[in-house]
Amino acid sequence: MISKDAVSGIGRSGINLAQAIKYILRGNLNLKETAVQINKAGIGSIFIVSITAMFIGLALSTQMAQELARRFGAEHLVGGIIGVAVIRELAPVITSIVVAGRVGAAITAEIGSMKVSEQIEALIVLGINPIKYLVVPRLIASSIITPLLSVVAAILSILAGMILTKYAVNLNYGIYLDSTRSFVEVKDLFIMALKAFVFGITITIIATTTALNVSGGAEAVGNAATKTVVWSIIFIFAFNYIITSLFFGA
Amino acid sequence: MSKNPIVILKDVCLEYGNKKILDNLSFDIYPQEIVSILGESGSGKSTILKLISNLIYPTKGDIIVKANRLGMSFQYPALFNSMTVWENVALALFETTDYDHEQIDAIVKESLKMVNMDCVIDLYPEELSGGMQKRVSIARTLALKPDVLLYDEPSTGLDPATAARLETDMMNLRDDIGVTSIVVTHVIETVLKVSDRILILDKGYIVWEGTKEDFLSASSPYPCSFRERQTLEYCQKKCKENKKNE
Repeated sequence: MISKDAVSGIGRSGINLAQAIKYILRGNLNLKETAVQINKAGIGSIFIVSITAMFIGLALSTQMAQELARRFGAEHLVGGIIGVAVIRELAPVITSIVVAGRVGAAITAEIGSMKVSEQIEALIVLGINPIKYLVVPRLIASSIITPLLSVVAAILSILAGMILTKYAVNLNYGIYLDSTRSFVEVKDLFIMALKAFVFGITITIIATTTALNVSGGAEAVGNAATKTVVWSIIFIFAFNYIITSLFFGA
Repeated sequence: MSKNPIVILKDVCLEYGNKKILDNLSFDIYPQEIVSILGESGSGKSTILKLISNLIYPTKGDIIVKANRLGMSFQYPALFNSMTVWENVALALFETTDYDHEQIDAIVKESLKMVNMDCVIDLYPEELSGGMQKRVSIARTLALKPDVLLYDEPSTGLDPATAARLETDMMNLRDDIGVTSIVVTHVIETVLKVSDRILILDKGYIVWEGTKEDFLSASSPYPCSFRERQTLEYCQKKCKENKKNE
């Protein structure tokens, strides 16, 4: 009954998100724990996001520089095309997939282990709401770090593409950057940040909701972590399409 | 003993799908008594504690808890591994009260002292034995000054000496600060040592109820089967020890 599970999971995620937003709007925040989560998720992910982003930039440049130069003599457009592709689509999506794999799975493993060892029930009996104590700091952290990591990813992709394009078709850095500047609009940067923000929230809500519903032992926690990554990736692509359609659709 | 119950379960039913876990369960718990609920594994003992502490809700029936505050000691100590003993005990005070740091520190130390755990205040849970972790988890609950304490399998996984110390703690809490306790267990030694009253649960409802003395002298099948099993387990344990010594 995968479909029934999926529907109830979406329902539970919605309820958890609504509760978390209620606590955030009340200003009822644990700033110390939020800072810990920002450090854990952000600093811990920056290396892998940077490496991934540079390879994306290199791959795009490899594909485009030679083709545009050879077929159309339009190598001066490489910077603009890479810039648009990275900022509008690739940076937020790739960054979020990395965050889902690294941070989302870690959140599910951590909270899921707490669930199976009765620590979540202990919190409730002690009068501490797990949404407020566990979900809200992680939600704020991911909604801050995912856009920031996307900015880092976009910059590194564009720079990696610029360096490789110079060697591949001997394109001047200035021409590459001028092309990027002329293609990329402020609106694109805003949409990149918006997408990353939405994806960050989506990953955390899926990760925490899955974890809070774990039952069983260590195997169940492992399965829940896998489930988090799979569903996060599905929703990242779905929301990416929706946001792209809203802003760039006909 | 006061006549007004502090916890009342009235015709409580709980079903998961088509499976009936509890079937018209009714009983009362009175202030300052220690009541043990005895039953086979899977008979729904721990479920009763989860119902009383509002972790789950009944399909039918009423649960009335007249306590100002309710605490629960879980089967596993459920301490937070990233926090020291002090932080574990202080957590709920920071999150749910307006006390300042000094007041919280005093409450934490007092609670740990009640279970003789004030010597491990700066240690992390993983540095403690299972029994010590359980006692710290009780101290964490005591910090909130509960009127009713629920114990889920308190002596499971503990060596006899530690289990005995924990049982003494339970009785001290009743005698010194008037805590009412509900103990869920299948360990008869614990039941016989701490209980003022014993309830036997089978197939989702209470099949026998009485005092410790009634339990020891009753001729009805349920107390008898538990007494026989205790004797059998005792003999098996002795045989194993003798074989080891040989």
